[in-house]
Amino acid sequence: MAPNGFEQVWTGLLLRVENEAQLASVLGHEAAHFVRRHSLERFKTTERTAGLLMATQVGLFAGGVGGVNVGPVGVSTGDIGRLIATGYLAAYSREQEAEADDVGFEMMAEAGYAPGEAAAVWEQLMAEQQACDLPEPPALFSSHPPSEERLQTLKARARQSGREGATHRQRFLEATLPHRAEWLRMELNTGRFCRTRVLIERLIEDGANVGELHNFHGEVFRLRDEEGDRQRAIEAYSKAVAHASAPARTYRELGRVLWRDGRPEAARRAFEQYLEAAGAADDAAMIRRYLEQLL
Amino acid sequence: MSVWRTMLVALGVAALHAGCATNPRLVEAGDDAEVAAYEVDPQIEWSRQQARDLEIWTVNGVQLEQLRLYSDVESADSLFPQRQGASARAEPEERPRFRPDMRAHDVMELVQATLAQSGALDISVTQLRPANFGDRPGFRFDLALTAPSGLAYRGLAAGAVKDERLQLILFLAAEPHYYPRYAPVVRRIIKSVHFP
Repeated sequence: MAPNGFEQVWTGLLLRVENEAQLASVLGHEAAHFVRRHSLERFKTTERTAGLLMATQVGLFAGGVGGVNVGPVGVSTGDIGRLIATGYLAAYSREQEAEADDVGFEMMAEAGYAPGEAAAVWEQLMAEQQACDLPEPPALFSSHPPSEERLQTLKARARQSGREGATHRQRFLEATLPHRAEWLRMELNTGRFCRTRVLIERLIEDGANVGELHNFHGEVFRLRDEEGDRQRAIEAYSKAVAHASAPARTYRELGRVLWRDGRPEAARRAFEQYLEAAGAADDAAMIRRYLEQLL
Repeated sequence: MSVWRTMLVALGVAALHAGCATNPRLVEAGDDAEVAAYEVDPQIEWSRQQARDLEIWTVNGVQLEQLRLYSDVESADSLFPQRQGASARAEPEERPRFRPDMRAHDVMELVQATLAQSGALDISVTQLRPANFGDRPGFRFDLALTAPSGLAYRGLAAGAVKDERLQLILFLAAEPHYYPRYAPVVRRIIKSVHFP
């Protein structure tokens, strides 16, 4: 949330909420930071910090250490300043967070969404963080660390409100499912495999387009490539292809893992199934080359 | 400076510094240029910086177009160094690294994931196809991506795994003007690859 009310919504959030009510609770929380001028206060604090940092950097530069490359990525005093500033920007105060929870809750409940979903979204985030033993929540929530206390407060508010509301899950799925595969690919590219695995396992339990999800479950294991992961990937791809929603590329990835696992016959069969399912794919010539190598 | 600019400028150059790079110098058209493991005909004049397993060539500056020539990338090497500004407290990213048993699809994924972790958006890799790299059976593919600033880039890649080491040429350029201007030149450079 920017000081002028501009709000960015990242695809990582859209993957991590189960329905429109959960999305509304996060948007309400963010909007509350703007309405109550938290983001403006933070901006002003950052301005003051930046002035201080500039003075510090001028001092350091005068001392002869400005902009020196000290490692493979060339850390300079400018970078240090930026890191400090970023860390400073990341924090809303505990009081501001509590107020944003409160005001955001009212906004989503007033809009007719199910109040209980406000706690559910934070619960899911905490589960992801705990399952992977993460030192901090996913990046998009790093300025809003969930806590047991906040969770309990939101649950109590939902009970006390006595309101009921809609989740609008179907509407949410209709809007997001056409894009989900692309978002999951981006999620995989972050290289944060534990977090992605936990997310995908929850989505599988959730039950929409599970063929596609088993494919991505296999992708997590294939790309992570730890002990036992090839077999896990093969099992996940095999589950995927039993569902109509599995993309044709599942056969290709299955073939790649089987080949790497020293099972050329099974790999051949999988590549042939890929060509059968997606013969016009733009990598078909490469797959045919693989098949020649597998003869 | 955005993460993307960091990738294009600071990381690329820092990678060269880390590898004891030379100062930028000119690649002259006409003579073959030796890139550690292979030689190419540069076709035109380029500004060149080189380190152990990477050279970066450009005409107008690395933010407008850059030709990355990797040679003898070894097992567990990554194509870009750790990005700047990553929080020390954050979950460490699994940095994509080269494995000697990688095939064409794996190398394409390696490039895609590396670019994604460097801040590129909407990356698409297409047209993976078999093509010789020098006298070695290799591959080529095309790339498109968007910088966080909104500027669209296009690219192409060619490579092969030779003696368990990756040889790779990766070209990235701003889509307006620079890609169409230099892509045909880069294709001729790729065609000229030969191993001494």
